[in-house]
Amino acid sequence: MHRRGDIWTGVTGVAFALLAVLLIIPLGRLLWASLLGDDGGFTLKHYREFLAYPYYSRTIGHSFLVSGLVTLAALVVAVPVALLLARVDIPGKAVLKSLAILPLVSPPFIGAYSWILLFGRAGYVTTLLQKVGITIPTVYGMHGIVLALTLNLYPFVLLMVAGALQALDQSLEEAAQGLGSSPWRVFWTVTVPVTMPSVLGGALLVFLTAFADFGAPMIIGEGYLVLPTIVYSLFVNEMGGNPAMASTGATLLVVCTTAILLVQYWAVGRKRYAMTQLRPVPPVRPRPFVRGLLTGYASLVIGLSLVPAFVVAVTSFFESRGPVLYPNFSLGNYREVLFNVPRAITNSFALSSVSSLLDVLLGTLIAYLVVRRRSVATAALDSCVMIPYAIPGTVIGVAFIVAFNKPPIVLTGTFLILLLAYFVRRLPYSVRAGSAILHQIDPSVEEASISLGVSPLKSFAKVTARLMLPGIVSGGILTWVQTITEISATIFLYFGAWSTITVVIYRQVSSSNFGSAAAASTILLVAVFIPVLAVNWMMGERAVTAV
Amino acid sequence: MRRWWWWGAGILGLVVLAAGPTGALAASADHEGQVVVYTAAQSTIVQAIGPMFEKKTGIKVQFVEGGTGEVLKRAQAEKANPLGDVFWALAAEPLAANADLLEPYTVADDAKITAIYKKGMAGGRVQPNNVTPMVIVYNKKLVSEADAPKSWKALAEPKWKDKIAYAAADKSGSSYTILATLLTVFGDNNTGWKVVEDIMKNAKILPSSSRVPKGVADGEYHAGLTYEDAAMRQVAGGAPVGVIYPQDGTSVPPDGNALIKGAKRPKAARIFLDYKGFAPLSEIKAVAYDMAWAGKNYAAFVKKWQEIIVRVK
Repeated sequence: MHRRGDIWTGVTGVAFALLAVLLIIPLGRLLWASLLGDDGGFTLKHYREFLAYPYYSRTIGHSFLVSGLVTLAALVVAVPVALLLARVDIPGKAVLKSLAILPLVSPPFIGAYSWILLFGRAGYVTTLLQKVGITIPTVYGMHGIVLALTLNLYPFVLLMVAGALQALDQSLEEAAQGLGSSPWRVFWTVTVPVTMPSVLGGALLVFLTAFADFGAPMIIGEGYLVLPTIVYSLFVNEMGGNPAMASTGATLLVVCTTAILLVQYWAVGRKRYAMTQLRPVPPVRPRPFVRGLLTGYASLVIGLSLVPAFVVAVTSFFESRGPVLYPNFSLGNYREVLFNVPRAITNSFALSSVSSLLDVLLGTLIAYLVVRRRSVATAALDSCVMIPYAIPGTVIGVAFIVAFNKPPIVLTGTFLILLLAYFVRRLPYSVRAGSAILHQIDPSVEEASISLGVSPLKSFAKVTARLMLPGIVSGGILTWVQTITEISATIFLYFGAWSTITVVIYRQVSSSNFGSAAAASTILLVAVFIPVLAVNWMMGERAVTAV
Repeated sequence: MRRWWWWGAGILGLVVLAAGPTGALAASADHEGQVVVYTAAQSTIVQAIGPMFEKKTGIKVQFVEGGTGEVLKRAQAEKANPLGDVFWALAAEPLAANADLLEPYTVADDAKITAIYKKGMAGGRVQPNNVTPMVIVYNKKLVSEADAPKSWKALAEPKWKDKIAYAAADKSGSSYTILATLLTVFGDNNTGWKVVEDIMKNAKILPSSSRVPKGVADGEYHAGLTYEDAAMRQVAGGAPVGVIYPQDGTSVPPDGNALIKGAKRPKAARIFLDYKGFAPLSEIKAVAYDMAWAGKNYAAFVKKWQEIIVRVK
């Protein structure tokens, strides 16, 4: 039921205008350079060069391999845990759910170090096992990247699938059961298909994040290069680099990501399941033994993924002498960062909260357009929104400076440029989370509301947005957590007093002050965990009272 | 004999300078009241310098930190409307390679700076800061002093296969300097490139220069190619790390400072540049390392290096 020219056409227009100013124009100019020859004319020679040069071209294969494996592994790890958290009555659910978000807070650069500390050639675990005669392969190389990224990114799948399962209406499964289906059959013919869009949505986020990540490959790849590491090296090069090649690599990243996105769009687009609200399925209460087993499994997965955070936290209490750490208890690292952390963490909170709020607002509206008003225009909007996902933050940072450092728009040197960069960079999370949950909601309720004379926007706010709430909240948390840990664009855009906690961590790591970096990271971990825990507790109660 | 920890010396120098009767500073009460400093110096140093400079001059100093590459990229993007006033403690070669961002300036202490450190400094646009010799580090628990590689050439021996660490030359400035140093020592010809290839066959390639001494200190690698400052901080911290100044000669390039072209607070910026002391140099066997030559050949050398990596990895 498409009504031309209603309020949503206006929303589409506004969204496009915003993205044009904040994304398409700044990035377009940068990427366009990949198509210009030395004489300024149009040419494909940079692409030919890039693809013909094995040092660059082999990274494309590496990227697809790593991201593919990470996605598979994340699905295998996360889907069962999501089922447990959503459908089984296990103790400490809110805590487990909150803890499961922490891996996403993996402090920039230092989280992956933990794996080296434990499983490197001289790692604690490696040496311990050697003493009892067991030799394990080192963590370096491709398999190490897959391990680190899987345990870092599986929460995307976990959160989205758990959200979808909670939004599943009881009547659907009841109906199937009433028609004589066995519980397994109900699961495979009802639960699985209905949650599939969220599974695929989570998988997409994992794939794309893994595809664009350069932190883990840099730290444990030991020379195993992927496309983003090459783009980063070409772009931020101490000797000036190669601008045309850098643009070419960045454009290839965008092309790959857009292609993946279109495949997903096509796959989910053909399977749509809708349902009407919403009596959440009450959790199953299994026999104590099974309950213990399941709780154990969920705790094991989540516990394993918290290893980096744990190692960082322990390290932060070690004694530092310059860059060298000694395992004696000390608060010296915290004293070291006390000088600039309070202001930095306030900045981080303020900037990421405001930008995440804006993301949730616009992201939910865009998700609605993309799912409910399918057209060429909204499909284009969806692709545009996802571009920042593919682009390293570095590229966005530089593009923003070039675009907003002279009239008509001067934002450099103010906090606004950080805010807007965060907003654009993390918008994909809100849009993906919103559209995943929308696929589950039957449009007929809203349509009924409109036909009863309530305005489209009000109907959306009163009906659909409410049904979307669990998904919106999960998406909002993801957005916020990902924003507060942003570093690669921040390092180019922060100025003066607007330094963030990630800048502090990054500079301490580059100065080889790992103790201070660990202390700042631990403060960040705790600061992120408390609000997330609070929200989960609130949402948990809300879900109960809604029944 | 050798300076052990040049940052320590640098701070000491600053304290002395700050305490001494520096007429030039006192005379210029005429300034903009604040200065924005783009720096790649260690955070610890940055935190120490800020308050000292403010107290001495009454000028409020704002630091923007990042790696040399990031800071320069940022300044390039801001070229039309510069936000920074001074570059401080960036790697000198890349700084000199960006001469179009710099305004020439002669620091008050210019006469005290040895002439060789002014070579290749973009015609006086870059002022040398401290020097960083390129060195070999080794882990004392894994390698005995007798077995330690005493020269660059020794690292090419097959016994170091997969045991040494080197930061990617297309990523790290100091690592590129090591590559150019090897070519200075062994020649930019088949012989020289063969040595480079043999070392790369043995090396694990890391993404940043700070990872090399850290990895060697932690016992992840037996030895590594790095720069003196990073190595000495490990030694000072008590890590089991030995430092070798290669017998076949090494380069001793300085860090650089510069005035940013179009700076909005040029007077305060000049006061900041004058404020920095320049520590006298030690007696390391330095090769005639030509920064201008290294800078000019950057693209060609890095490409050849990448081809080697594709071949041997």
